[in-house]
Amino acid sequence: MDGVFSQLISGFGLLFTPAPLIMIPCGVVLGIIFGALPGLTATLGVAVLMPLTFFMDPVPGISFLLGVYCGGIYGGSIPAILVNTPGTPAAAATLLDGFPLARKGQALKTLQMALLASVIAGLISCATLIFVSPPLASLALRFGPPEFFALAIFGLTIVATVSGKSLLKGLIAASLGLIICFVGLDPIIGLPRLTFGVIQLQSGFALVPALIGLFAISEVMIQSETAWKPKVTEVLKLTGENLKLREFKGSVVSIIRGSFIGTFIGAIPGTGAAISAFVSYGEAKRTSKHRHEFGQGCLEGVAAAESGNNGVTGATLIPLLTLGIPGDTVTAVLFGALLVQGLTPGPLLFVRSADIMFAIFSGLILCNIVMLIVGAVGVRFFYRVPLINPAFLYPAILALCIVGAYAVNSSLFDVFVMLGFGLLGYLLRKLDFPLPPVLLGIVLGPLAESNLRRGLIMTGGDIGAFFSRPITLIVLGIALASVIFFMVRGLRE
Amino acid sequence: MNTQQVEGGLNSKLADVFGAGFIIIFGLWLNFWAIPHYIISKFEFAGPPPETIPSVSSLLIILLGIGLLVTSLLSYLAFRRQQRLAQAKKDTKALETIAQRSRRVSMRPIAFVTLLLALLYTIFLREAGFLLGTSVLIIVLFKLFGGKKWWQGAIIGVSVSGILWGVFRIYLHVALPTGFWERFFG
Repeated sequence: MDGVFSQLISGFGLLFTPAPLIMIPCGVVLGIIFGALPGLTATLGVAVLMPLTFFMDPVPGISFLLGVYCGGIYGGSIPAILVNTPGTPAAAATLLDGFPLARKGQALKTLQMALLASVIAGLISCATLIFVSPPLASLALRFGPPEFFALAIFGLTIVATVSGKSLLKGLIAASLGLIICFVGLDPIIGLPRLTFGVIQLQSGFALVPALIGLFAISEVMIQSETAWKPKVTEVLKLTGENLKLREFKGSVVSIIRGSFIGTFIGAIPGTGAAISAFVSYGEAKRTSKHRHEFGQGCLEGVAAAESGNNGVTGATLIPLLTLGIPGDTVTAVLFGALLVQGLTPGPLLFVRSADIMFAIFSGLILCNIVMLIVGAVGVRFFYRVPLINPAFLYPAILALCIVGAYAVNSSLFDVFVMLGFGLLGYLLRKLDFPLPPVLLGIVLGPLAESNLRRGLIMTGGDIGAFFSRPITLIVLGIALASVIFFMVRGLRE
Repeated sequence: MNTQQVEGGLNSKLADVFGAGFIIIFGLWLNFWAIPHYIISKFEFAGPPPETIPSVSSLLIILLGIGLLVTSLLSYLAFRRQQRLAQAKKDTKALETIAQRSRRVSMRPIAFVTLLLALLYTIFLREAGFLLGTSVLIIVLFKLFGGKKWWQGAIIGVSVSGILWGVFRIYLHVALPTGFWERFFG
């Protein structure tokens, strides 16, 4: 415990330099803007802004992205409350009580409650990350290639089963991601695979352009179909009194409970802020003395939903940083950002770069504090963000995506790759295939393959030896059980 | 309830059938590449060959594609049966329910035009230069996305290009293409 505190203080020491202190507020502001715009999401914000961090040091760069993430999750509550449209999927539970409250002329205190709940939940989640990660990373140092192979398969199957409505489409998407990651030179022997003689493909598809294309370009293409007809033409006015201490105290229990629900759910790969927001809301409704007011304008409902969704922000980093397994799209994007910074996610991160890790943890704490200040001061600006005309917005985002993809290697080939993945992402979304499994397939595929082949070399080619290791057996068993569970549920439906 | 709304639901199920067919073809193509290479590599190298997981993935994608084809075909046939029954009984409420449950897949040309413009921009980026090329792209897209006034598009185009230039070229020191301006200004 003392070691953690002393490392955290050292982390703050690395953080209080000009670059992080400028980048964190910038990240939070941009994140709130991305979250507040219906059609954009925190994930898109992190993906589109990620190239900016390549030329920064790890601490300001990763802290900037975490600021975008935290700000984006909170920002989704603004249109949920004022327009009855969630800015991000995570804010879908917020509008159940947020919009009715705003219609009653209590928009200001509702936004303030959403902000406070988000910040408190973010800090609790961050504390969990700080205290759970080092011991989990120490445990993971004992894992061998079979265990990491099992974890990669577990991450893939969980995301494939939970994302989207169709299990088959989720698994196909994950398989597609695996196939995409095989393009290039074989990592062990060095033979080209699926390169078709194209020299630029020998290093495979660059992760960043693929990611930006899949999420951002496909989103621009989809939004272009309705951009001429702006979805938001009016927002409710920012009326009413400020939030009173008595009103806040009435929701403290829901906020704390929602924070822990968000933290627990966020740590599980494949889940996300939307699920935890609804679970937290449901629990608050079930246990509240004012449960009859839920759905008609109850501050406690807003507090529960927002604490549930922001509670995932720190916890979702636990499997990424300790095991190297991203559990959702945002952490898959952060995986790419960490790699570019020369930080390979996994247990060795806490051995080789513990100082940077704790600086990033400190950065996440600061992001939440800055979000409180920025959200409180800037509420009279942010509430107008949903009104921005898409005709102004999407061309700028497209230009940013192109220059971001180009900036990775100063290569136009990467831009073509990005556009190709954009087309693929658009087609997949139109056919209702989920994108997170594709991305995780691209990210986890190399991990799965290299650990499988190393493990087979280790066991002399005997795949059965994998199952004699208890952790491998348990993790693969859970992965198989989740597939069977969702298959049976799908057949019943 | 007119049949147009009910017919719209067919597209999503048919789209799934066509999508599954394409996935199976893709999986077969990949398999024809991966399996022979796997066999050859087995003789050439000790340990698991490079094509191990590509072979497994291609087989998996074929199986999953077949599964999707079967389920989407069954779903489509069930949908058609329900639709015919409801039409025979002239049950408008049932037809409405069927239409609400089904989904239409539509791809508008503007999405592909947007992509094409981005592609053209990328092709001519080195010749036009970043500032000019990006400004033109943004202005054209602004009009395409329903922007009303040219001067608004011009302001957005120039200012966004300038901001991106400032951030990437000056702050992050990324070498952005200068285009034909370089011949005049060096």
